[in-house]
Amino acid sequence: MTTRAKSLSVLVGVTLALGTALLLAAATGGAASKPLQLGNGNIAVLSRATAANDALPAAVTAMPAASWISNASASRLVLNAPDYRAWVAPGTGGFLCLAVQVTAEGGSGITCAPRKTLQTGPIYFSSINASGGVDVVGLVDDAVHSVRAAGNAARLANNAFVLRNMTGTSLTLGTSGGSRTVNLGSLTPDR
Amino acid sequence: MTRLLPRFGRRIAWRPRWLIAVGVVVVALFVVPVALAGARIYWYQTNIPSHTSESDFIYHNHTYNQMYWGPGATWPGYLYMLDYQDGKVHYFHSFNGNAAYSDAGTYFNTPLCENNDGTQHFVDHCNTQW
Repeated sequence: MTTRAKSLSVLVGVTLALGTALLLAAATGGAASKPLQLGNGNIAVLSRATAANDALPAAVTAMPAASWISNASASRLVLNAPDYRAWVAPGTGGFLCLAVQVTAEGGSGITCAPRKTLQTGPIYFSSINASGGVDVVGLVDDAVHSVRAAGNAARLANNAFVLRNMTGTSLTLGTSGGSRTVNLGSLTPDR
Repeated sequence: MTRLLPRFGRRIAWRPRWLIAVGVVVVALFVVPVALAGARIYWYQTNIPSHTSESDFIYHNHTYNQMYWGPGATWPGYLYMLDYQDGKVHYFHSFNGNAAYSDAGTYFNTPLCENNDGTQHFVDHCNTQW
């Protein structure tokens, strides 16, 4: 074998080794670090039979942002607590909308995000309560069966959760296939 | 001098009416911005850097505040109202996506919207209504 042929075979060998190493890394470490997809953006509560209190309140439908809701008659009440009431409704452009009434403020909020948002986290609306704590009301995919923040479990029913006096800024969403932690960013005024 | 005295006298006599008129104007200037219904886009099709608040810095009896990133937006943001006079926060809400909040209404508010994501994003508009 000539010197040139030896060099070529060494080069081919090194290239093969590097390629194998890269493939192995992608198959093991790369795949392991990929965040869990929480579901497919399905919200079962939208398919349940209509109840009398599913209708969005006038305070919500009167808001200019109500135009983001594509079918108000398809809304469903997902949370009915003394401090918060919440509804889900289909939004325009494939969005999902979460409408929240905040009893303490006598106010109403609407937030709309693409349905695919639920594959990576909740669609949420947070408030600062009377004691200065942070309460989070959110909407999650059918696949999510638990929502926790710093060990504090949220009440989860009808694809919706409420977490009062949340500690920290991260939520951990649990599914049968594993969990995913989502950082909501700061939930209090910066100043 | 003698000619001026009657004019001066008339001015004295008219002063209460002028005072009333000026008072009415002052009260109107104070009340009208609060009482008139209206809407205002205070941030329009511009980038908002991370954790930067935008506002119209005009006080009204605000009852509505909205942040519209645009179609397809999933970024986190804030909507809140500050008391124009003492800086007290009337309400503070965070969310992900396009959002709006309508409160019971308080006086001397200035509305703010803020990007709560780690990077700068384009915002279609933030608007308020009262």
